[in-house]
Amino acid sequence: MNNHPLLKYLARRLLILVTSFAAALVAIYVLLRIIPGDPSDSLIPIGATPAQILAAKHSVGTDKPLIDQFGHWLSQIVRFRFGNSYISGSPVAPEIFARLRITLPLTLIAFIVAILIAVPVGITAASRGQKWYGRLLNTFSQLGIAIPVFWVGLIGIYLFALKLQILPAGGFPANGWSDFGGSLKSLVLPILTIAFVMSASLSRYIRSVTLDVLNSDFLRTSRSLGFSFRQALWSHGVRNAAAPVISILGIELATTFVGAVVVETVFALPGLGSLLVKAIQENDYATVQGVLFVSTLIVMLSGFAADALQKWLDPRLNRYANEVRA
Amino acid sequence: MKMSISKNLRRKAFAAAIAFGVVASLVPAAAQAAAPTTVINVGSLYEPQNLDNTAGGGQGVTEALNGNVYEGLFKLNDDGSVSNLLATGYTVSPDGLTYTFKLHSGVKFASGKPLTSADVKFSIEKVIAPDSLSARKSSFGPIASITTPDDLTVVVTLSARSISLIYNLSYVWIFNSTATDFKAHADGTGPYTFTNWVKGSTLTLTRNPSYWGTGAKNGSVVFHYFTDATSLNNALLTKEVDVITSVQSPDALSQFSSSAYKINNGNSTTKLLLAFNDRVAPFNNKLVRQAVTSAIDRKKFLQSVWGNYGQVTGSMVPPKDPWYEDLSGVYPYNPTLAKAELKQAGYPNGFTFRLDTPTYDPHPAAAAFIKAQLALVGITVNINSVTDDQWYNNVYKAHNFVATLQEHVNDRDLVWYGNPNFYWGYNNPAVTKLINASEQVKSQRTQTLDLKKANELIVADAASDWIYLYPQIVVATSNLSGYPLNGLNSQFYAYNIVKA
Repeated sequence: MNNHPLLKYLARRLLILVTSFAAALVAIYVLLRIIPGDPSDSLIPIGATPAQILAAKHSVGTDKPLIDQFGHWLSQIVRFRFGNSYISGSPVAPEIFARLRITLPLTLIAFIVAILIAVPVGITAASRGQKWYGRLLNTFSQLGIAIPVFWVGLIGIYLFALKLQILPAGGFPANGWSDFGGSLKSLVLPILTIAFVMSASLSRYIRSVTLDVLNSDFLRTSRSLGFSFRQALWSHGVRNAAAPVISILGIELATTFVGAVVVETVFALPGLGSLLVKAIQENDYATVQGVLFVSTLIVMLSGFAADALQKWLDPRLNRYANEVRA
Repeated sequence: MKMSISKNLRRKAFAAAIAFGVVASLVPAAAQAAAPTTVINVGSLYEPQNLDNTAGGGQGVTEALNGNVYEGLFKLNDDGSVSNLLATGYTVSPDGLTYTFKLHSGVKFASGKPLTSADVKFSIEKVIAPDSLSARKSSFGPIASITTPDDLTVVVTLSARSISLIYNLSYVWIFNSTATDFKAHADGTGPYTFTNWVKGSTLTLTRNPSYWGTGAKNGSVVFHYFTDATSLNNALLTKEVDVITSVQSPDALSQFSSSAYKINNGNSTTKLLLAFNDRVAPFNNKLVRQAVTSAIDRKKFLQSVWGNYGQVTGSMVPPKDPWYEDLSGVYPYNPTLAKAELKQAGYPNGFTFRLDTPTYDPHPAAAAFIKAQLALVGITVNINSVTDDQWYNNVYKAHNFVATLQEHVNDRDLVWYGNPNFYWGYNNPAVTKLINASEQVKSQRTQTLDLKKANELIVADAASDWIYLYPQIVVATSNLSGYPLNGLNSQFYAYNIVKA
């Protein structure tokens, strides 16, 4: 492994990831128990007798000492078992995976669309910043950062659903992805909403990185060697710019995944975010822990993947290792 | 000539046979086409928490499943009356302690299992079990035993008379006693079978072709769940749903003013209360409670929130309760009188109190209104926003509050004022005696008289301030009919809904 610094780096990062993940899970568990409230509160009707209150606590296990609850949770989580929802009684894992079938395509497609918008916008805003369209694109990106995502969603609903009536205002087909056309149609507005906001901030990063590249020595050298501006930018500029952008992309993807809850609420989508919000409101610890397990894992893995890709793209790491070995 | 007539006759006979064959083949097709296939899409803010109303299923499970999938021995109609359903009738012993119920024969659950008296016994016992989380559990306190002499007879023996037993039984769902997971699955005797529940999205019911009674007039019902009123309204505007079970945002009603929609103003059972903690100062003083009640213009607030909808009833009793009377005139808006009463009570310069206010609409607006109104008589209100959880733990369980705003959904919940340990701590022995006695009377007429008397005493004591009765606004596309209008206890019978 010493001859492969990339592998060594990845192994080290993996160890940190696993340790961080375990610490995050314990922190989530503890924080949930510190917050006031009990999972049984959502089950108890007005006028409940003391016996009913105790029965409710017993049904969710919060009548046991905290250390017993923690032991039970630990024994489940090491086997990747999320248990049953305290409120619905249904297993948490299938519910999470059902919700992922909406949140993952929503987030990933929005991510790709955002990149497709942000890259040309960012590069053009940087390379043609003095032109009127360069300035216009710059303004677009600033607007996109300033406008809250839920407001963009509401405007989209007003225009395309209520006025033009060409897209649904929200919801998801009752038979899910079996109604493929209906499902895609339900996701168009939410995807465009997320993509609009994400592309705005992404294009700012890409613009900034592109400006750095445009002013760099290697690009000037490339041009002096006879490459056209476009050839120089593509052959040399992009790769150099890619590394920091990939790092940002990893963070943006994670943020978007976690932040999809707002869009899911606006568009009434039964995704992971809306499941988390409902579970928090109901003190459904089992579901909250399960959702945060999955979302924390996804966030950490996307960060890990971004780091790995960055290191692979950047040849200076391997060259340095070779020099040291020699 | 003879031959041509014969040929003509044969031709005609052949044509008649063909015609007969065509008509005969159409008859079964026509019979099959009679089964309705319409899908009714219902929009709601109240998703069930689970599918068991004895295990914390919540308001949403009543809306979706009551009367649609699950049935009781009796049915609470939209007008507040109670009629036979799975029970063909009942007899009561002269001492009022033994009820004998007869069941319909030939009734089956959706799974095919026949309904028997054992299922009824199981279902009632599920409600009164030690681990039951049913809101109706305490109503069945007098039940001493349940026996099943045969498959179609159930005998319930009481330790004390209970005039409301039949009414209370309308809330008891008859479960399949051999089923296991009631939280995630529903096997009922109703006009629909439970098909699918996509949590956070939809709950689908399909017409039960083997239903023992008159079948549903539509093919299926899909409840679409939303977490905010705007999304729900948008769903109706874009025809993703056909009807909204209860409009919660009055501002939105103007969007439905066209002839494409119909706005229905029914009677709800939900009251918005300013609940005083009658145990602690200053609200342990009746004069202070009266003063505060007189200082708040409830009609003005109702109009500002709901316009021409809703009602100021002046008490805890909604119009659909048999003992309803309009007591809004007992303490009309009179700030001058309020100031005089405060002075008499020993607060000539007013006082300050904390108002624990839930964060969801309309409580924050109500709190702001009350603050402004009470400021005019010298009372300072500190609004303390609380989450559901905080309200439940601090106000409801610990009684650690001075005054709070809250909505109470159920009908016939005047009885809480007979319990001195209830969160608001109202303690009037005369009222407690009346309410307890009203359950043990021999006739509903006597019960009505007793509870009317109790209500009058409660209102005279200004035990709480009943700000207004929520409207029950059901908005639907104008081609829809047959939907319930009053939403008693959140039930929503879907089986008569048709699309023109």
